[in-house]
Amino acid sequence: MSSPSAVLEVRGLGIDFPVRGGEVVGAVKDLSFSVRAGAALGIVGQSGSGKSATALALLGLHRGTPARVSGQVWVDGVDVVAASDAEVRALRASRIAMVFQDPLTALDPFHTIGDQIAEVYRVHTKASRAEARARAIEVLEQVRIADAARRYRAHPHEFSGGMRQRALIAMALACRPKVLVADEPTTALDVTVQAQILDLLDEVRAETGMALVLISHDLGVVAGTADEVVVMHEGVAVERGTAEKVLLDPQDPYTQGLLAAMPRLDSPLPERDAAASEPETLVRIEDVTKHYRRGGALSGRRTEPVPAVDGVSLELRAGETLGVVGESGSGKTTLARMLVRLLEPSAGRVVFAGTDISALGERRLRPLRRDLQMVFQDPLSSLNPRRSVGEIIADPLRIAGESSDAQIRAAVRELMTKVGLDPKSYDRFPHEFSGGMRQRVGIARALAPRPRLLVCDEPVASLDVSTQAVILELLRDVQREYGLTVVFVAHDLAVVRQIADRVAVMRFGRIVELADSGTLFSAPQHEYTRTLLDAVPVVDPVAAREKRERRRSAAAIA
Amino acid sequence: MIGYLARRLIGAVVVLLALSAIVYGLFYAAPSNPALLACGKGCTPDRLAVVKSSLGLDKPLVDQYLSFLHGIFFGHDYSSGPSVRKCPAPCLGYSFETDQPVTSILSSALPVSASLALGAMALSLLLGIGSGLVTVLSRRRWLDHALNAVVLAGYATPVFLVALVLLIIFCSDLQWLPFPTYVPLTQNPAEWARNLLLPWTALALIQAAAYARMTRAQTLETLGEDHVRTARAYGLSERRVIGRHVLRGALTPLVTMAAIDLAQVMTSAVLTETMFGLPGIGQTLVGAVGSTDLPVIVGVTVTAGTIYILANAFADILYAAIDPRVELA
Amino acid sequence: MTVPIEVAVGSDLPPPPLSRFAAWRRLRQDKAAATGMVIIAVMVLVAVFAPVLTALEGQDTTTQHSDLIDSASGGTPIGSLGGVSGSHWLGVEPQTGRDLFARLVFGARISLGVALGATLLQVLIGVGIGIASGLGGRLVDGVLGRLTDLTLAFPYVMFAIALMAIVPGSIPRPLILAVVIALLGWGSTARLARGQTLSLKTRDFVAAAKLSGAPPLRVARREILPGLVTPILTYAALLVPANMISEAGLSFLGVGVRPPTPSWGEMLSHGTTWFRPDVMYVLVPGGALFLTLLAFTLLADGVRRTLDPKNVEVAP
Repeated sequence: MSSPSAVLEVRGLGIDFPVRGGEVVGAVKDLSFSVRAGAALGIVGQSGSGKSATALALLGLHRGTPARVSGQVWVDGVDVVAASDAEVRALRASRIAMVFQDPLTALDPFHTIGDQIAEVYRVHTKASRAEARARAIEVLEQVRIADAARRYRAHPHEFSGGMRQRALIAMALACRPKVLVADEPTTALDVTVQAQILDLLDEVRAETGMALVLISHDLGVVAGTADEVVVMHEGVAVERGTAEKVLLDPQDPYTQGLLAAMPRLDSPLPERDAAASEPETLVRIEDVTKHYRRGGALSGRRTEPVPAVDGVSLELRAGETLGVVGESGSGKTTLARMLVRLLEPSAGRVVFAGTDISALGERRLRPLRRDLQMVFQDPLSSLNPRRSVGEIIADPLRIAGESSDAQIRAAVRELMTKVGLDPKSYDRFPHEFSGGMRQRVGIARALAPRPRLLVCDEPVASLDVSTQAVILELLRDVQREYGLTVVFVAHDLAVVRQIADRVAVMRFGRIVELADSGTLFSAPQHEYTRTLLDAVPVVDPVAAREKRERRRSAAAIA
Repeated sequence: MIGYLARRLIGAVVVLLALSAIVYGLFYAAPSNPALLACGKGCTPDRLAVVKSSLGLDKPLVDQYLSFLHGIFFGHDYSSGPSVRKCPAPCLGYSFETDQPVTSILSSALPVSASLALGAMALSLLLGIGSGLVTVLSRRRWLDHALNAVVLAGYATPVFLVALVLLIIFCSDLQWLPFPTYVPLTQNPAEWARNLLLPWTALALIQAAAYARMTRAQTLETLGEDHVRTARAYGLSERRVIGRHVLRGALTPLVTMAAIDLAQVMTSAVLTETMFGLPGIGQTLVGAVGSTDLPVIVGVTVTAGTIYILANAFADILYAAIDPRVELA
Repeated sequence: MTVPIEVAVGSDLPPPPLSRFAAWRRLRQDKAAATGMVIIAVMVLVAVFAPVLTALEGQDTTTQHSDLIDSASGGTPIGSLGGVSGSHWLGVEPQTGRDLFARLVFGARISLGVALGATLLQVLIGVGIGIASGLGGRLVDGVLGRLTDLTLAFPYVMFAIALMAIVPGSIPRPLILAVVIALLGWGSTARLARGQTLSLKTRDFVAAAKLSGAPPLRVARREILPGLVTPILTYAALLVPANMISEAGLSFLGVGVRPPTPSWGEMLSHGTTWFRPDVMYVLVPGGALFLTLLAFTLLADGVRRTLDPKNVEVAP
């Protein structure tokens, strides 16, 4: 039935989810594509585009759920939509395997990594225990896990995120499938680890000759790995073609918009006002250190060891935007929280406008609080779900207790207008807003007390690309208007590049490099900065492959 | 591991000391007059003075408590005039009522309570986990509703009401079973079980409701976890998915809960013991309370507290042993 | 009596707020919960108007009607169904001949009053200590945590029995009952409140409130307390029947209210020896107790279902 060269062929795939009240929401509409053996297809779309529902449908994983699947999904000659449960079960892992987004939860915590891989192999091949064990060690070696025979006995929690994702890929390889589906395989990982995993996927595809379906929200992730790309929007494939064509010469307006919104390392930098001559120093950090103690007093419980900041010194000039980049565990969030004194440094000084706030008592700190504000990463977590957005924004004003209720309400309405919220929604609750709107509420609250320092901790990390761009624009606007000094903490170098005047790169609690934005991105001095920059995905497929080569040669030398 | 055990043990000892101090203080400092109680009916002032000094009740409360503690670890000598009465460690004193050593009262009551608790727990785990799993895995809505109704009824029913109904039906009306009397296991295992069958059932019916509900909730939660989806995506059969990847995670918290519940049932089945006339520690306590027999009251409550605290510590260790994610360091 | 905590905590994410009106409407639409509420309402009315009801019947709780019992058979009530008649609506007690209806309706006062009073106390103590523990420093948390552990380590029933034996007789027994039940039973509520507080504390909105200059009490009141309402309410709804069982159990064992005050537990404990000749004496208090407990449990389950975040429809 399927065309001879294609190992995976999807024809007219439709996925509907019934919702309350008998209605049906179409997640995927009339989707068709095919993948040849050894080829790589990228499926790109933002949240709600139907890309993950498509991934599940490829393995028949909607069976037993309320979702309704129509159309045909041919995997190596079997139609997954029409086949019996037993047929589909036999197909999974042996001919089509899947790697999931979150490696933390995708493996069973109670069994060893090796046993889980061996189990899959045994189920499909009827191999002996010893054979299955040997195969598991073999695939663990294939995904470059050192000392695989020993690591076979490790439990998932003993592995790092990247290692877990490797183990999951090993599991996928165990039965030598013809198609590997990777659904956002690197979204939960740091950028350097992401690059390693993408390189690995590319290598095993070349080694085994299997087809790869790579699903991501990030055009850059797909660019270097996929030969062909499908762009999905609201369940429909709006554009498809070779990677070069789709990413370099997009025809569909949606794809064009997506590409334009994406922060890139090679786009022209937005113009900045020339820095005022000899700007004064607003904040001076001197040798700041933060240790986390283990365990609580008098309790037998233990807490996980937490990364710390280890002797950081820097100066913040009034009116500048300092970007702080680093991977998870670099201490960037800890540093940010010490700047606004949500955390107390274990050692060192944080001098704000001439006052050492590092060890100031809560009561003496209170008058200074209004100058130090913060925008948080997750707007859902940073807005109390039980209070109206108007009252959330009004909070700092009410606590200051300097104005009447009418004045406060008027001020809040003005702020809401300023950040692009409808002042009429004063009495509405956070869950009634979208992610981007919620982040606007967070920004308005931070602006309410008219602060001098605004620390933004990953303010756009939980937002879609197009929303990211808008929020970044808003932050730039309010900085200019209020004359704010901004510290912008992020893991994404391309985002930081959009907004920062200077950038500090952090690793293991220390600043490894601090330079003007232009200098840092064009001529990085520290090797770690170069590694980070090399790992950042780029949307130009040719440049992406060049980067991969550079990484490989770097790894070969090391 | 050793460090964890040591810390856990020290913690348990601290809580136990606090517990015993509170218990001792409450009962001996309370408005009751221990010496008068110990002296019994027809007490003369002379005799009262002798009793007072013999039991050390003329000393400050702190000294009394310390000598009580000393007695537990090293034994205690009660001297009244020329005669000395040796009470070997662990000494919890003598009953005011019967003059028996409290330890021997406890050692005859504990096996009864333990028999009751062990059987009831085994039965309730079997019933609870079984019915919980059946409701989840069969995916029949009516079973779900039925289970919920039974669980609610279980919450809403005091154990003495169940006991009463069971007694009326099986002992009085149908006369299938005797009115329970305790027969030691070592003496006659068959009679032991036959006599305990009704008390076990009464306790299990109520306890099982909680386990059924928890099994259901835990299993549903585990079924929704990503790794279960992974197992399915890799073509494992549903039986394998449930047997190897769902049950382990779902039942782990239940095991630790059961360890604590065992102690709870053992020390709290007062009503069941009373209803079925079983001479366990609950019955002993009720009897002692009736006659304000202070040494027995203190002995029983401290013992019950010890069992409870040890069970808690054991549950923690057990949890660490069966869940690879929990490290004992 | 312990109530498992896990039934109260649905998810650690704060649910979108359900307005009080919406929650109430949903609870009323829940058939089981509505039935429970009706039964509870009737029981509460009976308890409140107990003197009026007994006056209507023309009886009281203490008068012994020796003419209505057969002393030859040890005191079995004369007549069918335990001596039910126009003047004794539910018959009379065996042995004493006291009016059963009067004792039942006055018993409702003890049962409901002690259970509700104890629950209120438990929640007040538990939430107070839980929040203090969760928001306080390491030392405060350590001390309060151990204190909570200690009360949870008490063999609850044993202590209640022992305590009831030594409390002074001058204080009203129902009050003591409620206090003892509450003092021994606040631990799990405190643990729940502490857990929720710790979970809420890590949310960034608490950090934001701090940055706004909010003093600790304002943080506790504005940011933490509203997030505790749902889990605590759900849990408290289960505590009521549990406390009712405790009261009945203690009275059953003879360490609860003192005679001649009527209590369902005390009636039942006498009833057990009379169920052969006079089954009414077991059925009346037993039925009332079971019905009330079931009503509270149904309501508690309804509250849980209504407030469960998984059941909340999120506005688009």
